[in-house]
Amino acid sequence: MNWRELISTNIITHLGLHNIDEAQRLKLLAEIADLLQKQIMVRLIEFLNDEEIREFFHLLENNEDKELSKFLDEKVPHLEEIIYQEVGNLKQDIAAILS
Amino acid sequence: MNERIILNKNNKTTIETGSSILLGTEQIQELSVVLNSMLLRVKNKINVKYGGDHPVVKFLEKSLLQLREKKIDEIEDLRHQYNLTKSLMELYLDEYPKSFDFFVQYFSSPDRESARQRLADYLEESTVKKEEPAVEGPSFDNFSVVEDSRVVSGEIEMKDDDDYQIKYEEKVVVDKNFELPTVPPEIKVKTEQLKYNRQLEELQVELLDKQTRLAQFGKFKGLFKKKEKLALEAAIKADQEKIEKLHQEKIIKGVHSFVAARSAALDRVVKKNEEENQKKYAGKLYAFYEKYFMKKLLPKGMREKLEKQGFIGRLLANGCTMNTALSFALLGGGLAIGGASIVGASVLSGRRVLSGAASGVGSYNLMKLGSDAWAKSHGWDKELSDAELNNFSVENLIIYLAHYEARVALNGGSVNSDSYYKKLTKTLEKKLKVVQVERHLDEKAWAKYLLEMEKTLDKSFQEALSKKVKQKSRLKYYATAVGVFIGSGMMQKTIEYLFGDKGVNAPVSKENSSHTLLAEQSFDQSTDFPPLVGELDLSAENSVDYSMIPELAEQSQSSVEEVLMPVTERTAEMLKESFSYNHSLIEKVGGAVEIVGGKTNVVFDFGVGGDFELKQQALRRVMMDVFPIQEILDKDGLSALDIGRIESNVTTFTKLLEGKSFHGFSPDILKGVMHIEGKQLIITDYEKLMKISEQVLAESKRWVPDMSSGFVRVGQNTAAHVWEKMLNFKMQNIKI
Repeated sequence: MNWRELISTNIITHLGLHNIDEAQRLKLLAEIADLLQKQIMVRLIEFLNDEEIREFFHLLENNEDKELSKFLDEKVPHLEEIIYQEVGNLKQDIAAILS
Repeated sequence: MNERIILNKNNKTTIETGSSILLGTEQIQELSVVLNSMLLRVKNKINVKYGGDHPVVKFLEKSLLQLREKKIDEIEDLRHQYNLTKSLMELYLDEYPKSFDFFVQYFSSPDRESARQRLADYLEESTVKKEEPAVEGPSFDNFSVVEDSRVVSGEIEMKDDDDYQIKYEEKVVVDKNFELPTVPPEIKVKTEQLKYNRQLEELQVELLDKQTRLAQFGKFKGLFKKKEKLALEAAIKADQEKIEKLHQEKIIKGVHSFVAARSAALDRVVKKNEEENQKKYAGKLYAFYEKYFMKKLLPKGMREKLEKQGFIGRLLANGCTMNTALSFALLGGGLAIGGASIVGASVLSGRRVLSGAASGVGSYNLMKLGSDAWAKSHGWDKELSDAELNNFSVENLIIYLAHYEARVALNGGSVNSDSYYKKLTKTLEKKLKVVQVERHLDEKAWAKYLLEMEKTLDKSFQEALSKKVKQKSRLKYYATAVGVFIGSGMMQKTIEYLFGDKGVNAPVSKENSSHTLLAEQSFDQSTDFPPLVGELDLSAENSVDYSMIPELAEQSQSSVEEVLMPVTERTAEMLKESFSYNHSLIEKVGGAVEIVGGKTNVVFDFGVGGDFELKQQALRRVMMDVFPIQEILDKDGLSALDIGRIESNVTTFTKLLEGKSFHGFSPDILKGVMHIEGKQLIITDYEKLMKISEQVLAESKRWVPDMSSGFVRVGQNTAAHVWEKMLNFKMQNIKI
């Protein structure tokens, strides 16, 4: 399955979560989403040196969103691809564990 | 079998296998090579089964290289390698015990040559078999254990038995930077899962057995052994339920463990980054990941795709949070691959929403929106009729659409080919068109208008967020049970701070952040206000307008003391009745009325299952109830301007309840009058509230002088039928 297929796959069916009690299902989704955020953040950090991380942090902390957006577009131009990869990989990895 | 590898006191290495033998450095190195071969075999096996991209294959490729370079020569390192190999073989090779029997026996048996031969035979045999055609990479062909045990290709080197005598003790220099591979947490998770699989297999075998027996009953014994057949059917059902339960447990446990293991691994990566790569701020930034993901900062590529998707796409491109984008991607939604979605649109169009308002469709509420509880609490657990849909305001229809889409997605489906969803979107399109026309806005102006609202509200939201971060420890955590789907905990807390917490640093925004297109939409918040301060003031003026009730007109002329003292059970009951009659709107919309100490208490529940979803909705009814009759009876009736002023009052009281000054009023004015407690709006002195609302209304008239006020537009965003209904309730017992 390529990333496009994986992105288009609903994680609920992909992992067989649809038969799980709703409250549990939502909790699991929340956990997965949280992990995904962390993974993407770690990938982001990989592309930044210490000075850039500081700048990123400064922009984030001070809510300078416009500059932050420009900064990311410039420093991590393939962020979209990273996100796709991480989402796809995560779906795949969890499915592999559960298989 | 005892398979311990230990280090003895004299720094001589020992494998203890019942009968101890001592190992020197060379023997340790040799054993390590044997283990490497086993690991290689595991890798090949996994490669066949799961493909070369499997994380364990990647892990082993790297580990094997490291291990070969390292040349293990310390017993502790060997122990790690042994444990790793054993765990992996247990997971991926059915015959692992056999392998390790050989492994251990090889070094423990007095008949070592024979054991060695058996090991060689075993390894060679298992390699030659090549059960799976897709095996990649080197297999065990590149070494063989023969009588003289010579190296063939470096994979294994076995020597004469004499070499296994301890001849020396030597100090081994170890590269301190080298980290031996240990069993990855994900492998442990896989072990758990395999245990579940085994249990499930056993249960399935039992089930199959019973089903087979049942089939035989059907053919030969059905008529004669009905009881047994019934018992068997019951047992089959029980088995099926057991299997289903175990299967669910397996998935839940699997996801939990996976997430925990992966999170821990990520934490380690960040720590390592900080230590080794001169990225000393990595950890600090990583700690704020939640903040980043609530930003509306979609990557450039994603934005560009969305901007080509028409109106909703453009809205999403500029207003969709990273969290939302990720959620769409997880649920197979179109956003991540360039499609727009109504859920996303609702995130935008409901500002107070953004908020979630701010609880938002954007995060917590997306899950909540799709939940059964939400559906039931709104009577949305079934398809709505055309008439019901047409009665929706635009805002509520958006929410309903968002709910429907989220519900479908959370149940594993997609709305792409859903005919009901198509019907809903068509209804929305029609309604949007009407609103646009009414406001004389072309599409461009309409989009601009919405985006302007976004920006205005974002500003105050982000200001609050910034301050909130500094006060993280002050904030209560909530919404954990439902989880934070799009937005994680940080989002919820921030929202709570912004809209529910009245901390000293809370922003006093002159912008009306409660102004949203989704005036009747939900948000959930856990406010944290101080308890009611002060005792109930029995001498306070009771301003119930009893003159409107002929039966009680005489009482209404009495002084406060005459009415209130003594407050017997009977008079309290009478006052309650009179209030309910005079304020039928309050009663009709679910306000719980009680007379306490001569004062009228009214309590509204909001949140799921409550009278309202939002405190604003409850306040809107209260403000409508206290809105002067003469304003309604004037020549223009309940006009749009009147409604705008009512909305202004709602906003003022909302802000005051949040502990913020607004329109010149201080929150102190509500002490002993009205407060929020958990999910309840508690009015402890309705009569005094009416007095205050008169003052607030006077101020509102100043702020809302004519139809150009934003409050008027806000009022218009609540469906006309909602106002009509409120008006009907209000006027129900009023005799004109």
